[in-house]
Parts: sequence; structure tokens; C-alpha cells
Amino acid sequence: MNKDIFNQELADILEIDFNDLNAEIELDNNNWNSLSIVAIIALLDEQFYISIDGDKLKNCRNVGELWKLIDQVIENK
Amino acid sequence: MTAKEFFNLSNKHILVTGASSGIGRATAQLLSKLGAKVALIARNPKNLRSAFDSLHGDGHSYHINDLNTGDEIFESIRTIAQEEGPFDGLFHAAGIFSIQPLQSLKCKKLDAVFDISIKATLMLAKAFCYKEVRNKGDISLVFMSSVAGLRGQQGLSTYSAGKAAIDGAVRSLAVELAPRKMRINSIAAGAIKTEMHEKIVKHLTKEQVEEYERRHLLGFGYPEDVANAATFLLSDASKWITGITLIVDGGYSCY
Repeated sequence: MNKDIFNQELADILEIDFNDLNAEIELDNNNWNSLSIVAIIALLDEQFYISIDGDKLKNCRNVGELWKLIDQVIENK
Repeated sequence: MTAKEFFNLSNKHILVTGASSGIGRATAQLLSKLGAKVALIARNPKNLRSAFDSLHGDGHSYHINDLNTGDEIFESIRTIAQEEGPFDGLFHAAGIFSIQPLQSLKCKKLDAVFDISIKATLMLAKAFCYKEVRNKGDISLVFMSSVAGLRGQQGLSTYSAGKAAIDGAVRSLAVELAPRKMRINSIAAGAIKTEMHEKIVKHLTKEQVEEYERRHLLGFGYPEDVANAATFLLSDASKWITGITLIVDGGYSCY
């Protein structure tokens, strides 16, 4: 597992600086669209070998909720 | 030659990459069913063994290799040919599917996709230039491409470029290798119901999947649909066909 690599790519997908990435970042204001979600699904599979439903990712409002969802899925793996 | 003999591959030894799953596995199975002796290459030992066990007949072999080794690919293929005997054909199905928004593109990812697509294609073709790797008769090399190399799709710029590079290389390889009695072709496939396809589709909305499938006029394809096309190109039934990209996409590229 490599959370640093994941977060670096997440920052790129959201088009923000890696150093500015924090739990409060609103996804809808930062390039959160169907392509971003499919890219995140592929990234999660590649980095953590997990699969998360696209609708659950779509419902995340901010980066904090996204991190929490990923942690839950990893714990329950 | 009778119609039955067209697809009789009993005198052929075919090398199949990406053979542990999906299109590669289905093609290896069909080739063995038609009498060919098949050498399988893939990176996943467990799945590769399972694919090997699913083959018809005997005389087959399997070899673990991720085809990521650049110049060493040639040596690997030469070693396999020395151990198992020279080949009459190649089906290069190994590949990496990559959905990558441009903003998160890294050269490392680009390298991974290009290593297995265009670099491996050229290195495998190079290996077949050597007499100890190929048999004396007519040789057919078939490379997996994709309609993504012919039609644009969001998030697929890297993948599309890798596949379009294969199609481009096929034309020149056909010209360069024709004097050696080698035919070179590629197959541009549409969406095929493989494990990776299911993984991606599962996470799209219902509307997105319906729209994606609607563009495939005949619906999504199955690995066997591509295996049929690959077997045709590997057989003597296609002996006057070289330098083409055969589109096998259920009508996707009609749009």
C-alpha cells in the first residue's frame, strides 16, 4: 500500500498542489467528474487492491470523506 | 486446399503472450483445439498454469515473463525457441489497460503502457527475424490493438497512443519482413467482456454503460470473438493478408 503515491495522484486528478491537499478540500469544486472517479477506481485497484463502488465515491463531498471511505474499505478487506 | 484444411493448425507452433487470461487465454485454447502446439507467456504463475491446464492436446509449454525487459525480450524468446522448438506464429495479447486523465499522467505510467505495447511488439518481431526462432515456412505475427487507437475516448490518450503505435508499426514491419515470408497484422478490438472490462463497467453509472454498449452495434464482445479473428490471421486462410489492422469491434467504429 502506498498512501503517498495515492495522494500525489489524487492531487493531480483534482488539479491542486500536493502540499495543499487536506480533508476540507471540496471535491465538487475541484474537477470531481465521471472521468476522475473512474481514474480513482483504477488507482485504488492498483495501489491498494481494493474496489469501491462508483456511486459511493460520487457521494463523497470532500477529501476527508474520501479518505474515510477508503480506510473503511481497506479495514474490511 | 480444402475448407477444413484452412483452419487446421496441427502443423503449427504458436507463441501466445498475455496467455493467462482474457483474449490471450481464449485464443490459446482455440489454437490448441485446432491442433496447434502452443507456448504460453504471462506474468501471473497461478493463472498461467491454469491456462496451460485448460489447453487441448499435448506438447504445449508455459513460460513466466512480464515482457518488460526491453532488449532482453529477444533473448527470452530465443531461449524458449531453443527449448520448445521454432515457431510458425505469434499472438501478442499482453497489454495494460490504462484510464488516465491527462492531469495525473506520469512518464512512469507512460513507460509501463509503451513497454508492453509498442516496445514489446517491436522486440518480439525482432526475435522472429532470427532463424532459430522461426520455422522455415510462412510465418504470421498478430498483435493486439484496440479501436481506442482509431477513435477518441476520454481518459484513454496514453492507451490510445500505445495501440496506434502498434498499428503504425505493423505496416512497416509487413513491408520489411515480407521477404522473409512473414505476414504482420494487428486486431483493433472494441470492448471485450474480460475481467478488467467488468471491473471498469461495474463502477460506471447505468446510463454510461448503456451508452457505451449502444455504440457497440452488436453489443459488447467476448474473448472468443477476438480469438476467432486471431486464429484466422494465424492460419493459412489469411495467407494473402498482411499489413492490416482488422477491426473486431461489434460496429463501435462505425460512429
